[in-house]
This record gives sequence, C-alpha cells and structure tokens, in this order.
Amino acid sequence: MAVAARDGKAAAVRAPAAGGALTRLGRLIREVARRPAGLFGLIVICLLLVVVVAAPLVAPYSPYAQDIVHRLQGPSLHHLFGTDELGRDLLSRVIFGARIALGVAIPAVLIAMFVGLLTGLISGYLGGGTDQVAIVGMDAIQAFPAVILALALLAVLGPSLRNVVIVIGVALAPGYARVVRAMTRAAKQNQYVEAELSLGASTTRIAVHHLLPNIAAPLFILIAMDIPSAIAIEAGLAFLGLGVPPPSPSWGALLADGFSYVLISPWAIIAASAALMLTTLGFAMLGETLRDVLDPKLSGTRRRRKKR
Amino acid sequence: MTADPQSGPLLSVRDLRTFFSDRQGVIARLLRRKSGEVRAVDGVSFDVVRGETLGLVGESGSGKSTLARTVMGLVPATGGSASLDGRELVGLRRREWRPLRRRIQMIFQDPASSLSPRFRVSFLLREPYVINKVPPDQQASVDELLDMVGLSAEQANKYPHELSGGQARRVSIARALALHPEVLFADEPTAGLDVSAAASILNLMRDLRDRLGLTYVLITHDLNVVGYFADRIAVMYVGQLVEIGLGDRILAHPRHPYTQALLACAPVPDPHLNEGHLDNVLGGEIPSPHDPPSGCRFHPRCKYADPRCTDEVPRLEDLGEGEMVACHHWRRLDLTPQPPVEATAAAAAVAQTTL
Ligand SMILES: Nc1ncnc2c1ncn2[C@@H]1O[C@H](COP(=O)(O)OP(=O)(O)OP(=O)(O)O)[C@@H](O)[C@H]1O
Ligand code: SF4
Ligand SMILES: [Mg+2]
Repeated sequence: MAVAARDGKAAAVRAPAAGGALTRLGRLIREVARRPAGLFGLIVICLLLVVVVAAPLVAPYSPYAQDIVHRLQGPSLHHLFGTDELGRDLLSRVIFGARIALGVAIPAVLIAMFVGLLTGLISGYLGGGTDQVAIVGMDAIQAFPAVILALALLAVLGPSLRNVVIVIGVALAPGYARVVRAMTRAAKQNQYVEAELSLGASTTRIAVHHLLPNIAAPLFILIAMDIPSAIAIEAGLAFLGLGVPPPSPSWGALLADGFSYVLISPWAIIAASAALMLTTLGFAMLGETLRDVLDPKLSGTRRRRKKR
Repeated sequence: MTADPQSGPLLSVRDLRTFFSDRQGVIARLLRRKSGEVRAVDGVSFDVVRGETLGLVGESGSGKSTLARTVMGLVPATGGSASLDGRELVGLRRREWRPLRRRIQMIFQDPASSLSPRFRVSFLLREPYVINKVPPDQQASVDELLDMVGLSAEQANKYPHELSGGQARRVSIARALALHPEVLFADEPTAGLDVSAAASILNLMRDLRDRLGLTYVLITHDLNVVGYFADRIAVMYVGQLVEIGLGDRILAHPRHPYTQALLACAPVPDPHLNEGHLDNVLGGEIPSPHDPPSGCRFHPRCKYADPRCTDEVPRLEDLGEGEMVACHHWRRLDLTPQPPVEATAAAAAVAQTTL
C-alpha cells in the first residue's frame, strides 16, 4: 500500500476544508485513485455499475433464452463464456447476475446501515440500560455466522428477493451498530459536547450536528467493505437454493447449476466465480483504500496540513 | 470585596456533593456488591457576589472542573445545593435550565476540543442564538462577537483546527458571552497556551469583566493566574475547600498548610513547570477521591500533622468577612511564605506581554 503518500495528503482529504461536499468528494476520489488498490477498486466498480445499468444493451443474448442444441459449450465467438445446461448464454447470465448481486447487496447494506446507525447512536449516547439491551441484541444476532442466520430466517420467511434483502440487512446491522456505538461513545467524550450542552443544545441537535459528522467517514468505509459480504451471502443463499428464486441468474445459482455439470463443462463455474471474485476484490480494495485515506487515527496530523 | 448586604450573593453553593460511581457492568456489579464511589466534590460551600472574581485553585484531580460542571447542570449533583440569584439549580430539568443558560455560562478546559470540529467559526458563534431561539434584534453579529474578543472578521470562515490555541479560546469566550450571561465559569482559561497567549487571554477576560460587569469563577491550578485578577481565592483539595479568603491575604498570609505548599511552588510563571514542581514541594501524590484519607485529607502530606489530624475531620471554620479555613492547627502555625510570594513579579511578567 502506498504508505509514503499517506501523511500529508491523506489528512488533506479528511479535513473539512474549503469547498462544498462535491469538491470534497472529488478530492476523495482523486486521492483514492492515486493508490493502485484504490484505482483497481474504482475501475472494477465503475465497470460493474455500467454493466448493471446497461445490462440489456451489453448482454449479447437474453439471460433466459434457451438453446438446448448448444448446451454446455465452452467459450466461442458466439458465446464468449460458453453456455449452461439449458444452452443459455453464460456471459449474459453473468451480466444480469450483477444486477441481482448489487440489487440485493446495496439495499441490504443500506438497511443494515440505517438500523445500525439508529441503534448505535442511541445506545452509545444514552448508555446505561438502553445500551445494555442494545448490546445483548447485537450479541444475539452476531452469535450466528451471517449465512447461517440468514438461512434460518429465510427458512421461516420463505425465499424471495425482498426477504433476501431484509435478512441480509438484519445479519449485517450489528456491525454498524457496534461501530457507530463505539464512535459515538468516543465522540461524546469530546469537550465540545459539553460545551454544546452548556449552551442548551438538545440531545437531537448534538447527535445530528456534532456526533454524526464525526462517524460518517467510518460508516463510508464499512459500507464499501460490507457490500462484498452481502454479495457473498446472497450468492451463498442462492447456491443453497434459498436465495432469489430461479430462473433468476444469481451468481450463486450459476455456481450451483454449474456444479452439477462440472465434469462436462467447468465454464459456468469459472464465469460465475470470476465475476464474484472480481467484484468482491474491487469493493474490498476500495474499502481498504478508503480506510487508509480516511483513517481516523490520522486525525491528529490534521493540524499540520494547511491548504486553503 | 464583601457581600452586598441587600441583594445577597449572586451565586451560592452549599454542601455540594458529586460522587461518580465507578461501576463496570451488570455482571461486575452483581459480583462485587461493594459500591465504589469517586467523591469528586464532597461538601463544598461558597458564595460569589455580583461583579466579583473568585479564583478556584487546586491540584489536578482536586475536583475543580467537576464542581463547575455540577453547578452548570452538566453532571448530576449527589447532594447539596447551588443557586443563582436565589434560584435553585440542582435537580432542574433540562427545560427548566434553558432560561438560566443565558445567565450562567462556562468555558471549558481544553480550548482545542471545546469547539465542534466540523463547523466554521461563524456557525459556532451563531449557535448560542439558534439553540436558544434568540430574536434577531437581540443578537450580536458574528463580526461584533469576534471584535469583542479581539479577533479579526476573517476568522469567521476558519475551522477550529485552523485556529491557534489562543484564538480557539477567544472563540469559546465569545460563544459563552453571546448570551450576555452574568456569571462565567472559566475552567483553566490559560491551559495549553504559551505565556504571551495566556497573558493576553487574561487581559481580555479582565477587560470583559470590567466592560460587561461579569462575575467570574476562575478555575486554575496556577496561582499566578488568580494572583493576577481574582478578588477572592478558594483552595480546593481532594473534593473539599480547605481555605477561602481575600486574594491578597491568601497570597501573603496563607492559613492552611496546603495553601502554603501551593504558594511555595507558585512563582514559576510558566504553567507547564508548575505541576511537576508541586510534587517536589509536597512529596507524594494527591490522594484519590475514590478512597480519601481519614481525618484531615491533607494529613499524609502535611508536615504539621499530628494524631488528631488522622482521626478528626477539621471543620471549615468561618472567620467572618468571607474568610474560612479547615485546619486544626492553623492558629498555631505561622505560614507566611519565607520569600514573600512573587505574585507581583508574576503579574508584572504577565503585564509585560500585554498587547
Ligand atoms: N465522569 C467521571 N467519572 C468518574 N470519575 C470522574 C469523572 N469526572 C471526573 N472524575 C474524577 O473526579 C476527580 C476530579 O476530577 P476533575 O476533573 O474535577 O479535577 P480537576 O480539579 O478539574 O483537575 P484538572 O486540573 O486535571 O482539570 C478525578 O479524580 C477524576 O478522575
Ligand atoms: S488539620 Fe492537620 S493535617 Fe490537616 S492541614 Fe491542618 S495540620 Fe495539616
Ligand atoms: Mg479540570
């Protein structure tokens, strides 16, 4: 990782320097793109977004169009990734699979974030009994591995796109709650919270104006890191047959189907796992770069930078 | 300065106590039934009259900040009372506190962290008005507030981390004074500032006091600071007052052995040198308020201690004229500092660096 670049510039991004949110976002993106891992993450994610938005235009075939005669083929000029057991074009299925992957992961992570944010802010700020209850709740959820919990909940709720989103959101929420709670408790120690209180500020005002902005950066990082987890959980559920129901081309379903025919043609598995790996890696690298750039531990060096 | 007999004290604190429980969690509390308490403030009484500056001195950890935060309603009092102009402050609900916030304000110990980091100075200076819904015609403009504390108008666009310690201090003072309070608690206003910045802050505070008729409770562990402009001085030790009296008298003729020890190490006009220095003179550390010594809390470090001091708690004896002392033997001791304290020299050093 580009350690050398960290000191001065990294801090520059974090400081709430001149300019609006857009300028700041621009500077953040530029800073991330300067690092190889960050650049890789950005490129992968941009490609993914293009593919997701323009799936019908990019995909050579419909993901559902069967062509039994040409089933289980290897890569060719007609089918770049080959075909599956029903003769469907694997490239098209992988492309539409990206829609499912992100279509599940992004709302699930947003749900997790909102639930976690609210719980974490309240339990961190109020402390005491409220906090204890919240902690027990988080422990109860986190006692199970996310996939197992999601499986159990889906078995009860029944598999559907909406339920998959909710279940993954619930499984990931405690992670956010914990981070937000810890950050809130730390931010609460700052003397400015007492200074605000002594001016008569309400709890809500303090939470929204003076605590939230300080925990926004770590949340940002957590979101980038959690999207691949959500994608992996979604694929895992689909692989086990409890995800988004067929014939949706979820990457997990592609893997499961490909698995049955792996001895005849490995291409479904190769295509789906490549897509999964690339996406996961992209988000993880972006997340890690973001963490380096925004690392809260660097806040001490903020004073040193000066650039209007 | 003596109390105005007609109106009574502006701020009156009686037997104020603030204990913190040092509980860990549910389980730990169940296992160890013993309730641990930190007696940060343990029975403090004093009055402040309008226009007066009371200096509150004591070592680190003696409970000065906690006392101020308790009076301000930021931490709940365990017992006792504090009243502003006859209105009880202890136990008020937040809503009841609101109108009083405009009459009593505080500036906090750490200048760098007492300003919310994500907002510009202009936002921070308008905040008191926004929070308290002050009608526009009663608001001072940002420029006026900056001018009042000697900052230029262009500082309005800065973020707190772009300010120096002294500038951040001034912004805090402007925020506290925006609401025209009568009483201002100033917690270590010179902490973390170099000598010249500290001196100009003190000058500013004195100016403001004279201009706005403010009443200060000035908290510090630096006797040079109180010597500079406190009318009366209260000395705090492990959560209790040991001596209170006119500033000049205390600096020249301390009655309590602890005050004497403080004075013995005071003449270093550098606040950073002072703290370490104190331990050399006194030997040992300030006892923990979690487990205060028996009898006189100062006895383990007092060179005049006798068996009575270990057993019997000395009362805070009222000598009239606002003078009090809590020591069994003060009448028998002559504690006038050997080389008279160089408070005047210190004040001169402060005055030299005046703007
Ligand atoms: N929230 C709290 N919980 C538990 N103990 C506390 C709390 N706040 C303060 N204390 C304890 O109370 C005692 C007095 O602290 P306080 O901050 O009032 O001292 P101080 O005189 O202001 O010292 P300093 O000069 O360092 O600011 C200390 O022992 C401190 O550890
Ligand atoms: S009471 Fe005893 S121990 Fe306490 S200050 Fe007086 S002489 Fe020292
Ligand atoms: Mg303090």
